[in-house]
Amino acid sequence: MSLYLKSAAFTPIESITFSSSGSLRSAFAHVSEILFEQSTRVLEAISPDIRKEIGRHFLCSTMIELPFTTGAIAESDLNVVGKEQHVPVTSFVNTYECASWGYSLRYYLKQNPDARYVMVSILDANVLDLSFWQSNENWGNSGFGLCTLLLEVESFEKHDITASCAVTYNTTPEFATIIRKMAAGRDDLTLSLPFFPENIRQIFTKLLNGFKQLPDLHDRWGHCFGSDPWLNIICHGVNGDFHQPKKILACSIALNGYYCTAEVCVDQQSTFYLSEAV
Amino acid sequence: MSKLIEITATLVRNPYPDLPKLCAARTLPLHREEDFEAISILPVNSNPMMLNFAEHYLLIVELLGCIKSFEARIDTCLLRIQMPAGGRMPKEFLDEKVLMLQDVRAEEAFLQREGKPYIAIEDTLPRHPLEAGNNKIQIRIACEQDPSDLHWNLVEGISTKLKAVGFDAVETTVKDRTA
Repeated sequence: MSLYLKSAAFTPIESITFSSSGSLRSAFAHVSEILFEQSTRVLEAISPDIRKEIGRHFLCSTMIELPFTTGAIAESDLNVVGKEQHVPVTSFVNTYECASWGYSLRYYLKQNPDARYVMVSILDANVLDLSFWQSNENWGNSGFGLCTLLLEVESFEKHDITASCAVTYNTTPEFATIIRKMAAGRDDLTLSLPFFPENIRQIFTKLLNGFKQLPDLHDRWGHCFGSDPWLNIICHGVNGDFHQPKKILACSIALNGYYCTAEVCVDQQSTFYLSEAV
Repeated sequence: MSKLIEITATLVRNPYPDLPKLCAARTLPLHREEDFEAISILPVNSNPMMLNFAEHYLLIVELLGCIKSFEARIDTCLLRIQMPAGGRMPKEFLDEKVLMLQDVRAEEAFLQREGKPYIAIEDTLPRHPLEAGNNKIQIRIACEQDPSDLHWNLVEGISTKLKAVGFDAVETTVKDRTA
């Protein structure tokens, strides 16, 4: 096992919109403050000297694209002005939708196999308050928020991260079948899957029956896009459920068939934060 | 001395005039009055739309094919791709040598500092009025050493391709790579 989840945090973002904030720019200023605070908190798990080693902070998203695509907001607006950030956001990746975090990790760890730490944030906030994103037949009710992960790379093996794409357009069953193959014979592995409503979840129920997995939290959180598998780990972590070291396969699938997995180890020394909704 | 070769060009016509076009707006469905109000606060691009989503991806696939055909030893390719994407990306974009970003510049700066070879394709080809962009393309080839004949053949190949698919003002500049 080579990827260790050193620290992770999630902040639900339920009420920050362009109208509640007065403007789109103000809404993003608020989001960037949350990003700053969450990143700072997650980085407290390592010493200031080691923080300097962190070369990248990927920001991934599924659905926050339109303000950027139209040019209303720039990537640089994601970093708070006037505050020194230990590891500011360096690279915004959203084309792979919910699997963007896995593609970012695959790229970075291939480039930098000797890196000790890598930081990823996953931001999905309905700042335009569009009904398409509030709920959808493809995933039921949505949940919005910001998730930040600090991963310690003990000795990276290529198979620790999978980032690929379904061949068919029947993506969820194909994804479940792939996960089934990955988990076969791995009694030590617990799956952390994306959150879906019952009608979609039954694909996992049928195809992944018998494999250890964290419970689906769609009823509590809705579908939180790429954050789902990490939010589930965080929820268990803040409850103190990781008494023994546990190997978890975090899995995400995107609407267009992109998928990713990361095998990570968590234990009692991993730190988790679950904030009140903003 | 390691160099950065930059090819710039402007798209002045549809790249595939003989290709049948699929009419597809590919925007998010807007249901409520509030959805329309929200979209209305976003800037709208008044530049001409020269191509649709499928043609844009075909263009980039062809450029990647052109780069691959010259067998330049470049392990990293950065693509600027805007979302929403209008469907599943071509498999060439999902290759492990490729990373698609909202903005390639910051990632490129890391590769520059590390002295790594790469290719960055940064286009601002709008496919929809809700996309910023002025129909320009910049292709940067970062070499570890002085450009070889292979690199110059690659530049020639890309420039020829760009002209063939409707780009004008195709120019090449060479700079020292800054650390």
